[in-house]
Amino acid sequence: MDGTDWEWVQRVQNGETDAFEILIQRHQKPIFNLLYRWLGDREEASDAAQEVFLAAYRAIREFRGDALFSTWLYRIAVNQAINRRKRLGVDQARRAALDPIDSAEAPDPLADLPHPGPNPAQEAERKETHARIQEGLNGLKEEEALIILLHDLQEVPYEEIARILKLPLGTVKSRLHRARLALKAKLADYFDVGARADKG
Amino acid sequence: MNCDQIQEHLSEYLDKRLDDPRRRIIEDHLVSCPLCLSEVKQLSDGIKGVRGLPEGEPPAGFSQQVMARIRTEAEKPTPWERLFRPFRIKIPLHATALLLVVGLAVYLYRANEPIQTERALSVPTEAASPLKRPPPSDPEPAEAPPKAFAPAGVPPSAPPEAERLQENKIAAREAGRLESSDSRDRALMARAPKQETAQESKSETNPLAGAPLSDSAGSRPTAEAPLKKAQLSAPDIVLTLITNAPPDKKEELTARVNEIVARSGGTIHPAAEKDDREEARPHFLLDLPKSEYSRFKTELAQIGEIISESQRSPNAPPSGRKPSSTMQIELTFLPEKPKENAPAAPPHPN
Repeated sequence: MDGTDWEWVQRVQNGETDAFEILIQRHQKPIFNLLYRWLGDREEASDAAQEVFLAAYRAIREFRGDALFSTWLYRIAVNQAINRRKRLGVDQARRAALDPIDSAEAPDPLADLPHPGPNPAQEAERKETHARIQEGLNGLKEEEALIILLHDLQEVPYEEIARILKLPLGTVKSRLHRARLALKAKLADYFDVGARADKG
Repeated sequence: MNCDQIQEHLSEYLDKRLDDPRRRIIEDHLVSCPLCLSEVKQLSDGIKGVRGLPEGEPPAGFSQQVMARIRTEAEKPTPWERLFRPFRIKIPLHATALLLVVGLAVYLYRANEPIQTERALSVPTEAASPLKRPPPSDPEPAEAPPKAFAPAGVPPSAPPEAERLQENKIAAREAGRLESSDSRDRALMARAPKQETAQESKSETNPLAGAPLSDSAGSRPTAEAPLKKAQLSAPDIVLTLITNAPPDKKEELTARVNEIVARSGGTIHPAAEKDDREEARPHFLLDLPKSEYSRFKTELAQIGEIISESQRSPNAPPSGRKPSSTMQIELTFLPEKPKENAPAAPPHPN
């Protein structure tokens, strides 16, 4: 697993197909999560992520190393997700994101934590917060949700987002700020209630 | 800065993207402005909420699944490989098929070429094959002698003529010596001496112009177009003479023929004055008043002995020429001494 992405990419470009598996293992989690949060469905996200890596493999000879491999992969993922959202219909995707069965099937990242874990009340509150946040994201415009997911969930820097979305840096800043304001507006009631409850 | 200006930079402030002076300005403002402080807190809550979303794991065996699809795709033969693999079987197969197709194409091309050429020309001619058609026995009626050269593609008798040509070709093929030019047929009709016929067979040249037969098929426009027209029109009378004029005195012979034709009131077609240089047989194609024909022959006897005189078949189509008082004559002069190495001519049908 040692070596930079670019080194592994070059090995694939030189015909070492198996080297691509290293690149998959390195990037599968952020790509899957971005797609999951944006499409709102685990199965769709898994299929989409497979297509992203297949498309990347088919086009890997075109990758010249001018940008980060992750940036290039994110760009493929964004295109893939946009196409899937069109096909699925946004409403269906949003409903799926809030589907309790779907949420129950999603692995709990805290499940493996050592005991003592959070008590049931805290666990319920945490899940409620996640559901509200996801609901807020689902209520945003497509490009607003995407830029928040890229920056605040995936922690992709402004400059890389500008490359992924092919936007000027200033546009990225202003779009991110507008998206956060929109999310704040969606979550205002929830946080206000929470704040009043805390004070009470 | 006022509140609006401060709030525009709150995202960058939270992301720590501001330089120190601007960060201090915003922090000073937030201390004194509860509205902006509330705003920055709500923005921060949203960011923290998104960052706190649990990360999902891809399904187990995700990378193996992708690699399996990649390997399947890599092993799938390309359209090129699908076409030629296995090489041991498919390349000989394709090569054989290609040879068959090319062979068939060449065969079809050769089989159809002469017919197409003749149909394209659709020239009326009296080229009755000596193998199928008896030579003319009656002289042509004087009322309808052709006058001028028929242009290529004259329609009236074209379809029967094309059929007759095709019949001639089949007959000639059976005889083992296919010749596709109507001038060749005309030469046979003229009952030329044996050695001349043999020479024509050998050289495959046109008796009027000495042009190769392939040129007389003539689909290309060339400078010889008028000459081709002359070739395509059959004369009313073909005269073959033996002359004792030396081969190097052709100009003299030509001048004498010109004089005789002029005295008889006729004209020589300039395009047909060409000699067959290889065979040294001067040819002339001329128009002559019918009334002057006897005198013309008498005078012609001064420069050569007439060994053959043939008239156009009365069964032949009218060649597209209008009836007139003139007749068209083709003159061919043979040297007195036949060539020693000339191959034997095929026997004349009559």
